[in-house]
Amino acid sequence: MSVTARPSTLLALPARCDRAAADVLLPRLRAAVAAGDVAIDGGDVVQFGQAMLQLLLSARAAAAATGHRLTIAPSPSMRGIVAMAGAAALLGTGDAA
Amino acid sequence: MTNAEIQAIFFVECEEALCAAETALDRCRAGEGDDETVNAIFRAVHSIKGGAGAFGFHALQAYAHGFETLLSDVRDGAVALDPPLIALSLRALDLLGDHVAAARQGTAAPDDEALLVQMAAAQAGADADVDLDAMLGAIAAELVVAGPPEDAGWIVTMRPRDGALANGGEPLLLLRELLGLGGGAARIDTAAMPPLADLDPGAAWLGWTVTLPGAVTRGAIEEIFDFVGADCALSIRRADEGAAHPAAAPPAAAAGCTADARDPARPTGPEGPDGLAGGPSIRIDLAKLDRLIDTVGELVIAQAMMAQRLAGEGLGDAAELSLLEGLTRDIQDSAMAIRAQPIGSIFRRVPRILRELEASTGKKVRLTTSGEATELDKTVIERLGDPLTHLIRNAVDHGIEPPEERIAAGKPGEGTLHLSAEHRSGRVVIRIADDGRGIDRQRVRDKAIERRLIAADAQLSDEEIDHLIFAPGFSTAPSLSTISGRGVGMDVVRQNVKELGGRIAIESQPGRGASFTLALPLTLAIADGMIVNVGDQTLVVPLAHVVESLRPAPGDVQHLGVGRMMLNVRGRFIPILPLGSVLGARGAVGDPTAAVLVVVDTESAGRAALLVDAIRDQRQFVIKSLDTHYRAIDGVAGATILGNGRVALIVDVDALVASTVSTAGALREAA
Repeated sequence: MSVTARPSTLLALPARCDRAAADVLLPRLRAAVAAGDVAIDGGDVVQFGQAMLQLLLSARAAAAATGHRLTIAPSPSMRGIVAMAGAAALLGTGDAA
Repeated sequence: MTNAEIQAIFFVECEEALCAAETALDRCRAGEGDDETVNAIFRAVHSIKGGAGAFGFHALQAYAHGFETLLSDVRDGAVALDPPLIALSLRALDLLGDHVAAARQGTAAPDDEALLVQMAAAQAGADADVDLDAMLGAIAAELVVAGPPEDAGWIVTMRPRDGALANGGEPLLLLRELLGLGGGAARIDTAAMPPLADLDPGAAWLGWTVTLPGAVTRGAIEEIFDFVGADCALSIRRADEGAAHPAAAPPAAAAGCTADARDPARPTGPEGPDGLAGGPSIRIDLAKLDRLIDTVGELVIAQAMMAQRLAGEGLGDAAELSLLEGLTRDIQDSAMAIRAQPIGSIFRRVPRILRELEASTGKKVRLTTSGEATELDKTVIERLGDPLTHLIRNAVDHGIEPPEERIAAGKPGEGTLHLSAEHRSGRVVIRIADDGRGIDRQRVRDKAIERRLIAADAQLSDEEIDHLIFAPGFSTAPSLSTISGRGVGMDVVRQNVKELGGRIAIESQPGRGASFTLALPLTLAIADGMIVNVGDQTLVVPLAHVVESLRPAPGDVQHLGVGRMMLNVRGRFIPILPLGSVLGARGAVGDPTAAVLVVVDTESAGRAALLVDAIRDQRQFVIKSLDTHYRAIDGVAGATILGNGRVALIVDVDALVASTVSTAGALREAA
């Protein structure tokens, strides 16, 4: 039996994840989720707001619904804010260190 | 003297010490501090600590000890009292006040761990720069690992609305502050979130529920949402109560509250709620107060009717009539005074906003204020929060330059924001002035041409260019910003101010700063107006808009096409609006040279001349809402009852002029 690896898209988040950044990321994320697995690099994130949070939550739900994986590698700041917002389990970013 | 009486004195002394320390810290922040100022802060905290130990308030004593240790290092010169440390000390002082309140009420002490850690770090010289965003992760971690508080007292549900994000706000900051009150983990509600294909990240789809300890006052929770207004649905209920539907955040939520919306359990010290000395006070249900105001309005109308009737009988000069008139005005003033509150209650919330802005922009801002005791109507105060916050955000985001840019321009690295308030000519004038870069007029002009707000060849004065920033949707921000949002705010600010019956003006000097001046009515219930006749109608033109009135000579009026006329006012042409035809009054005079022209100034469309048959009177009038009694009508701001008992419509000058004369048209014609 052969396993075909689904294409995985890597998207990097900017340092300032505000509403403007979410607007920019939205079309890319829609395309990436539709295409296959998505890996999001949040290593540079310093500021993180609600607009980006809900975009990632929605994207992760969309990925799950289509059988794709959406993984996030957060910066410590991002992990802390996501945990504060009670969304760590939903985004799979783990508890704040 | 009983122990309770001695304790009561201790708490009075605590209030005085807190007040003295805050005053001293403010002086330090203003750069006026010296060794004695630092000593004063130290003494204040030390005396609270000493008393707390004597009365067995151990949590208060321990916290005061931590604060005192830091201040001791400052006093000894081991730690520099720089702006970040002053900011930290102010927050530490706020928490000391919370500790004192908890000791007085016998409730659980507030969570002071994070601040004590920061104070210890400042002492150690490690990361004395208090960067809220950088700290967010660490603070969040502490908050999340904490379970629900043992003495769950409040269940707070917040659900930001779309406006919370649209105006550049960041709801997660509110959540952080809420958790900072000692809440357990926030429970997120994603039920309303649409699929990714339909998602608009700019709209708000999430909600949170947080459990807070019973020691937290309702006032402390509401204070977090003070400037959020209707942008966040908020429900605060006792943990032992049933579920409640979220209401709009304060001040909107205050509509059904008592006149003093603070937590009933919050102690009232020797000072009034606004820090001003006052006598004994009682709580009055706001609805009762509003009924009183309504009745006073009726009294004003009845008095005017009686005066008119007596004048008709030749008794207009009766001594009793002038006595009654004086008494009526006294009652009116007293009733209004009950609703009046010092604007300081708003000003005092600004440092907190600035601290957040400083953290997110990297800019440094020094706040100076004057006229905090200036009083205006409670409703005006409540509705002033949004526009004032936006103007402050705008000043910091767009006006004040980053420190390096300021220094390169020969200015101090720290910008200055000055808030002032004063009574002037029966109105309250509030000014928000910064010493930043001022309005970039070339950029504003280019953008206005690009947006087709003005013609490419329009010759505009500096003032006219400055006012273009109030045009709907106008934005000069080169990039999107979380602070001022998408530039949609300034037209909203103007609209907010206009809805308060106020005006807003700009003064800007390139490189030297900009100031926004808000002129607001003292009350929303009674205003001054010009009573005019237009055909078979009697109308009221609010005096706040009136610049002058005149009878034009035939050469002063120029006809442009069919039905369009311009008035030459000392070399400047302004459009003439025949009120009769605009509002549908029958039999109105149409020839300007046979009528009176009332020149009015508007925020959105500049000046215009209202054509009326005659000016009858100038007097105070009681404003009755048409929305409440009938329905909203374009061009009409409300109604009033005249002395003869007839109803007169109040002209909505701004809307009327704006709808008749487009901004672009007006500006082009003015050129």
